[in-house]
Amino acid sequence: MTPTATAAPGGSRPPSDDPVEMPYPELVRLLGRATSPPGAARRPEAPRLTARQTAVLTLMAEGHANTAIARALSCSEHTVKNVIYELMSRLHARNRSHAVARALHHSLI
Amino acid sequence: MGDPVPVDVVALDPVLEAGTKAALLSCPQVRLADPDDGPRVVVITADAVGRPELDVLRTVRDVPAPPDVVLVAAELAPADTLHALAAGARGLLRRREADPTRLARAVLAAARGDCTLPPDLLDLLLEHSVSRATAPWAEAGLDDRERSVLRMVADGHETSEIAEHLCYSPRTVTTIVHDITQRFRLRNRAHAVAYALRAGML
Repeated sequence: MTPTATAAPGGSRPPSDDPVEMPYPELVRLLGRATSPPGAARRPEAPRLTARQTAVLTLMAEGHANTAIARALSCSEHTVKNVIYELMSRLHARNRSHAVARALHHSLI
Repeated sequence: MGDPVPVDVVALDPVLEAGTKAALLSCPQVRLADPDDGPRVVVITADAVGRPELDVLRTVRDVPAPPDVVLVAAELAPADTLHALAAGARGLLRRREADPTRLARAVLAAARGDCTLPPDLLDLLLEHSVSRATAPWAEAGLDDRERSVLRMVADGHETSEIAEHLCYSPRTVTTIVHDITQRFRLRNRAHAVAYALRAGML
């Protein structure tokens, strides 16, 4: 399947040069495949994350601290810490940078 | 059909700004943002995608609930595109191709979380091995030293481990990471890792 076919419903490439629309994580996944060195080990099964874990990770990947994440998601900093603790274990991540890299690797954000 | 999407325009000059606004307002699902509610999407119209344009993009995105950004530029090179996407752009259009319909569609797509790209640019990005691509503006990428340090950061290693493994002092490791975050205006290590991976620099 070509990337343009992915974006066009029904799998047919539009005849015009209209811009392609696709969800951002999907684009990152396609670009990640293009930017990985050939023969690199490909993604095994991706861990599943809740919507809240994904929201926290997305903000972490933009460099926000726990206080800012709590404010953006209208929850307590304590809750943010708990969510991070849980998502770290699901992603087998050692720290925040590792968690973000693992999430991108699995196209979760 | 929901409420119209509030949009703001950042342009090089007043003529370009007026033209961009007029094009957007031809779509009933788009309106200009009020000063009090703030934009959901910001359209940046520029000549090229370089450091100054990326700085504008980062400034627009540097708020707690950042608006999505559609970048309309005269030219779009693959490496520039990757940096713009990593810095938070959710739509990229060439000026000569950005008619009112396409511009409004890109804005609506950005507002619902979709990303818009010209098809030939997407093909270029996917065909070429862009991992080593360097944007034309000089110090766009990472040098070998920076890449090896940031790769270890991405693998979850702390400063002391990186220093030991690469035979640098911990201070050197900290300095290298600091240089990267300064150059791309990143907030911390997690942000640096995400940016570098998304821009294809790592």
